[in-house]
Amino acid sequence: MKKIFTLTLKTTMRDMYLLFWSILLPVIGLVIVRYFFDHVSESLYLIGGIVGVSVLMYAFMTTSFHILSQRKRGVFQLLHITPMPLWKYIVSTSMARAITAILSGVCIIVIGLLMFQDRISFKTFMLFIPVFFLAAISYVILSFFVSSLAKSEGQMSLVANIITMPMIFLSNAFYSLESAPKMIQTLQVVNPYQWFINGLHAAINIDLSSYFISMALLIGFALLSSLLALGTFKYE
Amino acid sequence: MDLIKATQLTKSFKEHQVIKCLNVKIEKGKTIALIGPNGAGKSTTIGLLLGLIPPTSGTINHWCEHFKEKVGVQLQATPFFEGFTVEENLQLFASFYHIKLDQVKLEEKLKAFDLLAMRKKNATHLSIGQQKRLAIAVTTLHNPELVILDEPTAGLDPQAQKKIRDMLLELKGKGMTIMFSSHDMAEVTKIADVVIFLSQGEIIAQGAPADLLHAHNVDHLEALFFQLI
Repeated sequence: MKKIFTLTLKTTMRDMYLLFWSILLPVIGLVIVRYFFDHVSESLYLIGGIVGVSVLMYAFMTTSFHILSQRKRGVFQLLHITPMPLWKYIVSTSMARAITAILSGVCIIVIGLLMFQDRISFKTFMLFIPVFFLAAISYVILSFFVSSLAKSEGQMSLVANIITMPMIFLSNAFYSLESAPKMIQTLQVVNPYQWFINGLHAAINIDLSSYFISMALLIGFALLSSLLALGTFKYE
Repeated sequence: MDLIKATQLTKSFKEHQVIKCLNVKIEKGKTIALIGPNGAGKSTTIGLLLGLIPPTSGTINHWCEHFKEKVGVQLQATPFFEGFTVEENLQLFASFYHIKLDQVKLEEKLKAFDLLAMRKKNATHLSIGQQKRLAIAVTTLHNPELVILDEPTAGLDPQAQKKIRDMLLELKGKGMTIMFSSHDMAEVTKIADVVIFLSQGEIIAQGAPADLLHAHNVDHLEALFFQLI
């Protein structure tokens, strides 16, 4: 497992797509908000929202397409005829991808803080890391399940958008949903991306009870994603 | 001893029966060639024997419970992990077999398969010949008892074909049991102890090449192929 983890981590770190999609684009977003909008209040929440999208996009979108591509190439068929248990492979690669997502998230936070000349406490920063990890690993593992639903890149794009777009729009990552219809607010409560954002907000406010509720929900989501991934995994 | 024995094997995809009542056995120490036209069912047969494809009916017996630890497989498409270099792919597959591939062993393997110069190259960017060599290197990483190769020389130039053929002969010389599918009758003649002719999912002839040639009164396997198919 250690070897699979280190090799996957090494390859994900030199993936140029990662740089573009997961770091550069969110930074461009931050630049636009910083320099083209007159007044930005609560910049930490904004940075949190942008980092959240970046982690979701890398952990979920990039991994889903990567898994689909591996499956289409027949790599998983080869894995199937080795003694390596599937769960070990999924856990090792998911951990590596989650670490990469965390590192890219940390990069964006540092750039965002410098740009907005803002600062966060060391405690908040340390509270961010487990939330990033749990959210990233849940989304990476979920992508194993979602990639089993698609047969082509076109289908994958559709399925991934159907899942990620409502997750982002039904959260308060960038705007408040306090005055939204009741149904939207109900959906927001059961939205796994909202649990991630809640965790980040709780870390910013150092609200530990809210923080641990978000963590517990994310752990539950990670377990559910694992069951779905293992139960539906397709080797070809 | 039979390493794999398949009895009365059939496989249907929806209404279409692609494998019809197949009886195959892979004897230890033998080199078996699976030949037949495109669409004859060679890759499906390999998939069935390996347990990659569930049969519609029939039984497959492997010589040991943990046969996956003792079999090496090269699939027709020679897939590798995307973004991984040649040596990273070898290390990754070695870890699947719980083998620690240190630098010395890794370099030995790379040298043996003429891949040393391209060790840092992305495996998916290799030429077809290099990919086939890497696939066979992966196949033999764990010193398996049985090696199954699906068209190891397909799409290669004569020089690359010869390299692969020499590798197969070397594996055979080491006493490994080999099953391979091929369209190259010269290759089959040089390497195989047993030939299985497959057409439309059925075995239409099988036996030692010399016995088959004698029985059908032909000089070479290509003539036999045209006579049978």
